[in-house]
Amino acid sequence: MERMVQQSLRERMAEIFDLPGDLVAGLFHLQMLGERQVLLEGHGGIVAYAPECIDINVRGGVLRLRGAELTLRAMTAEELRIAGRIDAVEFVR
Amino acid sequence: MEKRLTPALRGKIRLGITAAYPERVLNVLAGRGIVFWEVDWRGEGELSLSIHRADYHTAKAALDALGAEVTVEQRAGVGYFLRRFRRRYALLTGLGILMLLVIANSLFIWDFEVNGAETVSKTEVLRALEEVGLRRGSFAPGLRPQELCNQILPQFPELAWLTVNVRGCRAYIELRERVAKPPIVSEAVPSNVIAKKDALVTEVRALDGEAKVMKGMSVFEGQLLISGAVETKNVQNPSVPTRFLAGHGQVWGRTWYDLSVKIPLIYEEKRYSGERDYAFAVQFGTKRVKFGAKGSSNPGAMCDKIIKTIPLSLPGGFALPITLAVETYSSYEMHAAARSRAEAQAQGEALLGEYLRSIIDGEVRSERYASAVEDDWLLVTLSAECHEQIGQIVPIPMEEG
Repeated sequence: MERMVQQSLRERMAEIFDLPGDLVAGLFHLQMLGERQVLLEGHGGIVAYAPECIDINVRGGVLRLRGAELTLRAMTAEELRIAGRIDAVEFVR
Repeated sequence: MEKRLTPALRGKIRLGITAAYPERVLNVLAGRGIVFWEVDWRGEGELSLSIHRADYHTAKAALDALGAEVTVEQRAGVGYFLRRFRRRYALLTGLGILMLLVIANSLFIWDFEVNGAETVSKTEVLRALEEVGLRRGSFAPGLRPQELCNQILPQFPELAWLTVNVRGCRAYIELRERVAKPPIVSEAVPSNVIAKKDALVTEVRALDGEAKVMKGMSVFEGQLLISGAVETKNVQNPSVPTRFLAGHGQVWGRTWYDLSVKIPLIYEEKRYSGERDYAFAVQFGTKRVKFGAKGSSNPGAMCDKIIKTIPLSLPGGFALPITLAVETYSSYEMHAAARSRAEAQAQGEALLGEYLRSIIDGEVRSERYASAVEDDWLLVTLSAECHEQIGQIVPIPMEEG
């Protein structure tokens, strides 16, 4: 409980002082290149993987990518790159 | 490019993985810092991906701990390619010998390049260098450029400096030619200025001595123009009636020339029959090995021989001691050919004009050409008027006493 409060405080401080949230509060950073590619920094691992749907663990929930022919192009401990036709990006709590 | 080159150099392994939770496979690999790419989802619990060769053992251990079944589907890269040859001892020995030969070869000079020779013949310089020990096959580290310079310079007064730089198997001979001294007018030697050709004097500039001609006078070749012997008219010292000076100056005049040349209207020209023979030769250092029939290098008189030499070198300009020579023999026959009068006249005019400009020391004021046919010849005549410097300095012969 205390950790969640601390986290929320950090997020608010980052917002007030206009600091990059991914660095200060450890938030994930999502970049999309059109509908063909997604670059995600600060992930917590893949939860489910299928060509139509990929679930990725991120701080505060699960990021779900839905589409077709989704493939994991590259993955490291910090970032991953997914390509394919992306139809939806959802945040599942 | 980089995406393909890096796996090719580092080596790439394609793994087929079967696991109950394939997502965990990806997370574990990413967590261990193992870079993977080309992830192919094959279906329930099965996937394939590519990793670097160096990460294989780490990945295998991590996946075994997960209970995943791992199979190697493909190995690629330079390392795997070279491993094929590890038991081919003859090939490896040959490569080693080749490398040794290349290294040994680089210690000797097999080719020359002469730079900076403008008036001095490159062939003569190379011949002189050969006489003092720099020739094909010379040991490059034993070269002493300063000694070579000291030995060569006395043989070539036109040269001011010479050095030899060796790069690879090629010796670069750098030359600097001496700047010619301007003629020095000796003030001590009494001299006259005489006419070197017949002319009508237009201007006299007597810088020292006494002018003996004036503007408008006609002079003949050899006539005295400016005299170095000047009468002193010294009434106080009558024992010295004449003073001798180094007479010099310029005398300009109008000159006329009548030059003629005969151009043949019927002449013989080469006509190639189209028949060609080739001979090949390979030169290793100083040894020449010829290929072809015996006597093929001397096919007959009515034949042009063209030799093309091709020095071989490795990429990057590393010269090898091997030169290919291709000799081409083109047969021809002599045929009588006719030249039109206009062509002959143009050729004659060009010849006469070039000759005229080479013999005068001034400019051509006017020129007129005429031509006449004499049998099989065309006689082209040039009548020209020039304006030039006609003075020539000659010493005054002095008798002792």
